[in-house]
Amino acid sequence: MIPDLDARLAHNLDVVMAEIDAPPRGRFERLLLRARVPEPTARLVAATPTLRLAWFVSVAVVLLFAASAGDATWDDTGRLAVLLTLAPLVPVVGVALAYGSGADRAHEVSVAAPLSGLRLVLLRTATVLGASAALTLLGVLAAPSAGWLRLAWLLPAAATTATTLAVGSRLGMRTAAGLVGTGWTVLVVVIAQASGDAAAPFRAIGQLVSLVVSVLAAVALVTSRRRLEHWDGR
Amino acid sequence: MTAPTVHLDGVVVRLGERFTLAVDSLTVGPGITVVQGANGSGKSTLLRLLATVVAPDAGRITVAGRTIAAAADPADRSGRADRPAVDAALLATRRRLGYLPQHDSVPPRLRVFDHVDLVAVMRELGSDARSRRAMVHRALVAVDLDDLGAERCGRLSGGQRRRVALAAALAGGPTLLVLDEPDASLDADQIGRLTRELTERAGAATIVVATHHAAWSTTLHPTQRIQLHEGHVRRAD
Amino acid sequence: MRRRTDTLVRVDQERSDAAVVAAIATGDRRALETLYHRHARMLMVRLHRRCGDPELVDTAVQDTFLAVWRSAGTYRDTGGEVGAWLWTIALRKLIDQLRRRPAPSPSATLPEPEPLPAPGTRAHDLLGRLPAELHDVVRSVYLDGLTTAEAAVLLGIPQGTVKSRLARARSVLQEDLR
Repeated sequence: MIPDLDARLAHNLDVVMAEIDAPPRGRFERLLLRARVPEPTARLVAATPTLRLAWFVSVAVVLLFAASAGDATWDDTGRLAVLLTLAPLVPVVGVALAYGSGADRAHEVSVAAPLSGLRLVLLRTATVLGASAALTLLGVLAAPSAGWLRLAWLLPAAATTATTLAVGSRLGMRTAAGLVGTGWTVLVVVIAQASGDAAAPFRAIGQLVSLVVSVLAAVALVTSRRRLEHWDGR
Repeated sequence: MTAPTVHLDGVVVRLGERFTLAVDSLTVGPGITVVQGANGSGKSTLLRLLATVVAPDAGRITVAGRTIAAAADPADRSGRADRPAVDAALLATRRRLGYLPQHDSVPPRLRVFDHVDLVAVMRELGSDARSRRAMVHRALVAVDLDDLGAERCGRLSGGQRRRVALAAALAGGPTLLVLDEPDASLDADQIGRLTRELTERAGAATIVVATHHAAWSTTLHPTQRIQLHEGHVRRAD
Repeated sequence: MRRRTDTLVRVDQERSDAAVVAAIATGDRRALETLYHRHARMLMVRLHRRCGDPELVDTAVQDTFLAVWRSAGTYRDTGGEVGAWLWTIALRKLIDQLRRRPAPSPSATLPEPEPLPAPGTRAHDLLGRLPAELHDVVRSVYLDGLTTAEAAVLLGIPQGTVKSRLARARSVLQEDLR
């Protein structure tokens, strides 16, 4: 009379038992769902902070420490410059920890899955970026006031993150993070020393360069996305 | 969907200076195929090839007649034009694939249900969240872990974690199942359960199992056995 | 895949529905499976008489047993039928589904009319006196205890139509009883 009734009865029972047996969704995931994020995406995103919670806490501690415990002899610009230099490193370290066989045990399983490797990388990076941006913002707002300069880490952070992903798709995320992190720190110190202005790398020209680098790195990432679909174990 | 046949043709994978896997010609499936060989013989590399995790440095892999990997041959210009078709075939293969890696693939901080569900999301199972989660539940019942759905994976025993990873591979009834030492750290009861599960599925799937245990592999009644030795297929029958 | 529930259902056979619901209230998952095996088929068949869309019916049945799991403690064993209690929940869950999606034409959602209640009952006599087009409205409001708004959603007609049909049904019945 009703087609497939037996199969549907069995399926409906599985649905009921699954909902009962499943642990309740976390607060962050429910927040994403309320913001109309598609359910599978919310699942993917919510699992990243679960894995990385310990790391976020340690970053928060470091940043708050840097914000509050600056050397009293520094001027305000000097203290801010330290924060601005650290802030773009936060998402880079996050990406390094969030990817690669060492960090993610299920990495091979995710490669073998149909979900696009690029999409997964971008989703997780966006999560890491969003969370670290929020933490960094807190740290920087606690810093001595210096007007718009307090937000001057945003574009450099985009540049370092995008470069890490682009280089990482070829060399592996950890190697890339190491290279970009070192390169960024050296660059900032050299420019600051040469110009005698601690905040020099974050002024208009620096912002412009960051924007260009971000765009170039994003293009490089998208054109090399095939590399993300096959994991290279070597 | 029917059980696909996987064909490897002139496939070479080089891992560093020391190890090379070379397969002249090999056809796998349908039914159960057991892969055997000593440590370092290339079992895991062969299974990672079949699980589309490692790309071959040379040669061609086809699944159900469609090329999913063809190493770039500088002399062959036609290869480039085929890229969209190869990408589509690779995606289609991954949609039907369940893979259990040899190493522990279960993140300790995630809960049992959430890990299997997360893999199910990545495997694009189910038409909506509820039917996907129903598949996850069925898979956890199959490995006898549905009572532990809310437990963190890090608190489980080695055998239980193995079964969590197994559930993630079995969920949704994949027609291509690649299992690297699924019997590792399972007790006799659970191995019996696994044997029944795999033989039940063997009629409608291509199942590739790597194992050290010759005795267990016999109880699977494989349609094919592959013996690997130092990166070469010594015997396939 | 094997189900452990088959044997459990047999073990549970002698327990009354009310006892099973009481067990569910204590968090007994197997008891919920027992209740499901006893009632889900009937609920699906009856829901299908109200709605032809299998997806909506499936979701309604799933929601029903999830609601039972969460609220089994509120069930009061006053001698009332557990089946009737489940049916009330199921109908409300179906209406929730219908509200969420704009219903197709009413005729499409009613694949076959529900048969009249068993002969000899009051409900049978009541519906028997009415013209056929008033059956659905009277059944929904008087027998299933829905509000006119809920009945409107279920039947896919405006609430005003439900009210006017109810008024007509009342006048027919009053005339009959006179």
